[in-house]
Amino acid sequence: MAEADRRQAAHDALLAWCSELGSGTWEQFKRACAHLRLGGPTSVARVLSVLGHVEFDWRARRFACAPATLTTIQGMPGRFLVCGQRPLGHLEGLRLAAEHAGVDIDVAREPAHQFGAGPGTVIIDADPVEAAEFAQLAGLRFAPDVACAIVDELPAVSLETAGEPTAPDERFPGCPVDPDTLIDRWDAPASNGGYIDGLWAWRTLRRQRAVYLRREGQWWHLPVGEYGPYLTTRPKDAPDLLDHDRANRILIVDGRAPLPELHARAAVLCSGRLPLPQPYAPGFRLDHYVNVPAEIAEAIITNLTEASP
Amino acid sequence: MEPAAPLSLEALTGALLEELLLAGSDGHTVLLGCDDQALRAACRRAGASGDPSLLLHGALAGVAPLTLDGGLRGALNALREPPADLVVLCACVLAASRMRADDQHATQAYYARLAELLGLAVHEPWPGVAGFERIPERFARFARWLERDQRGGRGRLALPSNPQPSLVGVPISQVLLRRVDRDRLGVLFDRYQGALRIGRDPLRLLRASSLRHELTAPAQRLLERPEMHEPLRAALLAAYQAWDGTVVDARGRRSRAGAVRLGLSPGRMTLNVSLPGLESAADVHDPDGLALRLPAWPQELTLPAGCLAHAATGPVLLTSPAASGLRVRALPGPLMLFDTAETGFWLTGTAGERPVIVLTCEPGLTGRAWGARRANVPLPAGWALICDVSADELPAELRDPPEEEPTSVGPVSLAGGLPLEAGAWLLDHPPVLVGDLGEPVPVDLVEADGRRRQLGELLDKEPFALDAIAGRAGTQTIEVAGQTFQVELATRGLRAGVGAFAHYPREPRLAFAGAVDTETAATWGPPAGAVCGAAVDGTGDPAWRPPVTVRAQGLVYAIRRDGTVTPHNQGPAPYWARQAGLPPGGPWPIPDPDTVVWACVQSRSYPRVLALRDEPVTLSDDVLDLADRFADAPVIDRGAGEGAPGRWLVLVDAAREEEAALDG
Repeated sequence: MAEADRRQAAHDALLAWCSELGSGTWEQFKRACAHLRLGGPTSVARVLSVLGHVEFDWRARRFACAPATLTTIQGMPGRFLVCGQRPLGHLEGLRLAAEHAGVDIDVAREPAHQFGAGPGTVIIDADPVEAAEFAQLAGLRFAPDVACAIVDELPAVSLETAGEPTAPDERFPGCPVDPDTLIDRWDAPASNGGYIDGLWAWRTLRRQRAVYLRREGQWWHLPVGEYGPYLTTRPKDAPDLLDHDRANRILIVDGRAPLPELHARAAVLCSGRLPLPQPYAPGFRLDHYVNVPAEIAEAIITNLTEASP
Repeated sequence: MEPAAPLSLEALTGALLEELLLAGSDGHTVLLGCDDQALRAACRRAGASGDPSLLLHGALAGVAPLTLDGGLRGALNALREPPADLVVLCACVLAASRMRADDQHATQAYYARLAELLGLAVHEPWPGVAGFERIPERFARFARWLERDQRGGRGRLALPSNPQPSLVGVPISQVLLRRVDRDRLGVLFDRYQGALRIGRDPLRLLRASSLRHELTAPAQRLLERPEMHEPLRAALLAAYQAWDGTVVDARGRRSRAGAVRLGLSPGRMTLNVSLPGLESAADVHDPDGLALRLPAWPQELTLPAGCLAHAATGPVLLTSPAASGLRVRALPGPLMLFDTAETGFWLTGTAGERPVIVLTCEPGLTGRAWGARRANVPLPAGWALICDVSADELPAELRDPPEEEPTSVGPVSLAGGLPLEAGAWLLDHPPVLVGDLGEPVPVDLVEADGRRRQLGELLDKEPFALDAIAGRAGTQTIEVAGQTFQVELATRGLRAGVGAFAHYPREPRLAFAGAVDTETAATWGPPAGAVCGAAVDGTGDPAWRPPVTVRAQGLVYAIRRDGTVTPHNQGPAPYWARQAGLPPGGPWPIPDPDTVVWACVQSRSYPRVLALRDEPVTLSDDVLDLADRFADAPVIDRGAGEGAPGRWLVLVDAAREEEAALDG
């Protein structure tokens, strides 16, 4: 079996297992990822989260499936995305619900392939007028236009809101993050004056990469490390981390500055497809979020770029 | 007693044979196992209605009179060879299945049960039913008949080599679960309801629980015989399906287990009882004689504070004033566990992954130093409410059965797979065997009929994948290096805790905390605007109206209320949709749908007109041309109301009048 097919089947099995379990601990999740040979559980968890399937409480180190939900696909009013809990036999259950309801609904035979990057996308064809009724009969939540709903909820980002005024534990090692390349610089020379202002990565007992921002001598811990690149001061000639190709409806994100969880979820739920990595140099890539309309892309870009000092 | 249409002995014999001893059971060890449920099924199979016990009695009496002095002798003389005497043997086994303590008989009173079934008094002297001394030999002949005449095709009848007692021990050995066992299983079913409801193996749960010691000795012996596990599992499943939801306590009182929710707020605790399936409110009394009203499910009754003290000595029952009325087990006893669910803390049987709340008066627990976990709420003397208690702080009896089937400690263990709750794994993802044995050892699968099949060899430190059983739902027995593992592969898990976490971006103190549980969120409000998966709750109805779509491969002409006609088609699918493998086609929207009154679908095979609105249209030339072209097309109502075909006809007529005028 090709590696992409194997990973695809593994992701689908992982989602089925999370759905059958309902909720569990981070340790259980890690062991499941190890059994399925999916690699780093943190990145696997992010995939499940941005697709709207599973929520992770990082402080409690637990996960819980989100309820099964039917939502719209941007620009495709006759097609709907099924997210959230997906136990075994779910697709068949949706088909039976459609037959029983006597509505004109087509449920995909198989989830659409994500080429090994995540669980397959389940899409149904339906008359929008009948979608809400079908969702109710099939036991799904109906959440049209959820991408817009999520961007409307995005909080204003600032260091004071996204950060906690906490200094890192100096018993553990840390290094500065290059503001231009956003690479952890463990090779950075020691600074005579102590720590310099900017973004820092700390290796701790609980987290492999805890993110801190030092500004005007004040330390801030960023529980959601993805905000770091957007809060730190970057060189004026540094390339933009975010862009939007309006004609092709692609939100382009620098791979070194992945979107925070909810921003990524809003972008992904425009299509149900994970971002397509576009490498352009060794170790560098752009992530293309497809089918993101201008209003959603601009809301995401504005929310994050306004955070920059 | 209701009169029953007679059933011939031959018909009943055939039905019992098919019901109890299925053909195709080659190699399986079987028991006759005739209980009330099996007899009922056999009578139904024979097409007979009425009381099954009466039908059996009638079938026997039709062969020979059943008298006090004659007992079974007449029937045995008339039915000399197997399988003709099967009904007699089944009557003996049925009596054994009914053994339990009641007002009239002790559990061990076998002859009384048999005599009752035959409509006789107990015979004096021994045996208690005349002719019974010939029964063990008849069982042995029946076993030989199965082996030789049936060539083992209906299984091999398991008979004890040294039955105790010597006579009644034989039919008793044929019963998988006596009634007293089924009564006692109510506690097991109550404790593991959640697991059983989703199809967990009841035999595995029973073997892992100390409740197995509550069963009778014959039932406990069956647990130790692997060849009897399949029929015993079937009997447990049948018993669970027939379970009426009641529990028999140590005093023999039968009651229905209520659902109990713990209400806890600072300085206050309540216990709230409801009864699943109760369709109308019922008047009950508590142990203090207080008159209460138990509402219909799912409403709750808050128990008076005085009830808890009674739980120190055993279950607390709410009883109906009527003699044979409702009896609800409100509180199970001096130790209660409450687990988190979507709607609060509910009484549970065991503690698993999540910490539980313990309400108890048992000194072994109340005497411990729980520190800040001991809640400060008013309780009867000697009681304590302790929060956040993990399973390993509780006696083993109160923990979920461990993930791995308890076996003797050995060098081989199970690891990995996709585990569900204790002892079960997701189908297609069993665990692997890992060991440190120093030499290859065979791995055997023990089939249901006791045969062993070698799956391979466990090599030193190399995990052994159980791919051979991965797709087999149910419990599989694996033996390796003297150790036995029970691996249950299931297609369903508990599915507990779905939706437990959400993001709360509107609450400044939670906006950057990621997903949190609702309890944490509740300390701040609870805040609105919860993002859970692909939905946002608490923000009102979304401003989304279903757009107008059409399923058409070809051109669609939109007739708008101002008389303009615009052509539209689906357009090419976006590349990402092609890459995702989405099939072309599907519904697509008509632009500016608010102004569209009619949509004419151009199709060679199925031209049609969609009526979208009940509104007048300016009769422009374009509109009349289109009406003329689609004059004969069917009109489909898409929200315009019943009069749509008529209104389209008006347009068509107008077009024809126009044409006639031009021709004129």
